[in-house]
Amino acid sequence: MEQSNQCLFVGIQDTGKSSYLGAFWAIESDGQSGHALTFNGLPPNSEYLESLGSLWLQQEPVNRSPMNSHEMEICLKHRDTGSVINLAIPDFKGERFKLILQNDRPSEIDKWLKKSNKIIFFLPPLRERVFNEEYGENENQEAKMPDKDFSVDEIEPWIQIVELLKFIYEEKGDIKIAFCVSKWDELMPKGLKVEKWIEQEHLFFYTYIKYHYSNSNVKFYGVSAQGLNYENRGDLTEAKVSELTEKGKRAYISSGTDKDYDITKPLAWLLED
Amino acid sequence: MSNEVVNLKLYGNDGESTKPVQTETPEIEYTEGSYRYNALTDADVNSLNSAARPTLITLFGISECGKTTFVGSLFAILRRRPDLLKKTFLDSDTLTGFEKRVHLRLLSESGVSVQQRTRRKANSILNAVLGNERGENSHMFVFSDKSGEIYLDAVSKDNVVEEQTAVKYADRLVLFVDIEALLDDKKYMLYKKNTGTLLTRFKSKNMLPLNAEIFVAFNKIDIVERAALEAAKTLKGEIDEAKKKEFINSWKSRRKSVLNVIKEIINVPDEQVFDICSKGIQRDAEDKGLIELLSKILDKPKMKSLSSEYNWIQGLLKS
Repeated sequence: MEQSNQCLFVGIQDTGKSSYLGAFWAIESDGQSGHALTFNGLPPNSEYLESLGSLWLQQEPVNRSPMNSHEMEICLKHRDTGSVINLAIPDFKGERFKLILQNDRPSEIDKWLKKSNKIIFFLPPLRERVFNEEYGENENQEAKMPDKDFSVDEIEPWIQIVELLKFIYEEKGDIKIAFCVSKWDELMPKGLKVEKWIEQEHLFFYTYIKYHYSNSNVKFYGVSAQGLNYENRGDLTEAKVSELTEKGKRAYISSGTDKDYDITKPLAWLLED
Repeated sequence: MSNEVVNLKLYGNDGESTKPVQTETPEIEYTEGSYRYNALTDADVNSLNSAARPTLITLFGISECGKTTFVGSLFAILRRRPDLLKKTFLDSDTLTGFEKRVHLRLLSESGVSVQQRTRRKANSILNAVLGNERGENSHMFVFSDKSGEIYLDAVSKDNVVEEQTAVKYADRLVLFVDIEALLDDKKYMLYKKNTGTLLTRFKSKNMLPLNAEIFVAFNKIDIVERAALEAAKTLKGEIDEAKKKEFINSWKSRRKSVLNVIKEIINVPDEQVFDICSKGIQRDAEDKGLIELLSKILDKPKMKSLSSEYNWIQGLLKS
């Protein structure tokens, strides 16, 4: 019997999950894109996805959605093979995952994690926080002032990510994971492969993955769901972006410096044996 | 590779888990907070899974000697430049525990005064699984980083000494000496006396580790030159070289004196005495003493026969 493909959508706060879903919905919901995966029936309630998709189409940040997010599951099908993957989205805003770090086990995440045999894991395009002594104070200006009281928010985001991955590993072992670095449009000028960027900028996270996961179970993608930085557009005027959206050449995934406009591919890879 | 639970025997002398004895010092309210990967208590350490017995490294020193800074630097190097130590950082069960120490240091960097006195009750056990440069031959290192205030309490209280099982069972003990105190004319003699009394009390209660490798870290070496220049400044702002030399000689004499006090009580080979700057982690200009000390304490131990006191393979013995 073919094993069902249950994929869990994972990421701490501000890792581009909602932007990706907004782009995904806007591009794929009519089934006309010709991309690797398509919807296998629309979700019964797509109100929140519609709100994210609308903001994406209007070139507005998705965090302006007035709606409350809720857990949902969407079903996708591979156009060529007919294989089906259920994508479980327990936590749009990443707050539930934060509870795990506080030694809580939100029941919905527990439920989804038990069912899942694949993960799509979103990562922020951030550098790590360093001590002033490492690079000199002037180079560390972007570091935020720590709050006097320690809380989970004071844990460095990339340590939060390792902790979340560690929790998943402890529950599921060597599971297939597609890692997606968001806002790749801002990092692409560095000219690095996504995996190389992670190795250079986030060595401990990279080493953790290499030590715990087999190579065939891990793949790294850069994702640009918005296609640009709305606050720093450069040549990408609203008219230009609108044109790109219409041509299906706005949101993309990347392995480094290339652009592939089929943003379903990380999920399609998870479907592969 | 099996993952049997190993027992580092950080319980009390009766072999059972002991609750901390109430000290006479009024305890300030401290909330550890609930975090999945927090630092552990001495009792928790037995829940650590390891294929082989971990190496216990205990950081020892009275408050303000730089243990927290040292741990923060250790974490930064392991995460970003483990090649300096010819290691790879593979895993830790106490990442939030490390982050808490990083947080304290960041607050200190930004000039925020932090009430360190609240940390007596803080969980103190951290761990790291390290491999060699290729990520092979993984080994778990467990660090005991107790609040310096506890060691200050232990100067005058046997019952506090007797609680410090992480000292007794350390495989490697790192004694921190605060150079800032040695340079302070008012504080120096008291610091020297407290160091001697502290170690004497540990020895008298048989709480010094029997077979451990002992290291001494004279910390904050970076301030010696600055302090010497300050002491040698004339009214005109020039440097009196003779005064500077006198200052440096005085520092060396005090260092020797404190080291002699330590060596009277516990054996420390000269090659295991280091002058370090625990903050010295600037890229391409890392403090040599710090890197050398870290390399030595994180050297994978050679297998040696275990003292029957350790009893760390209780599970196997039962079978």
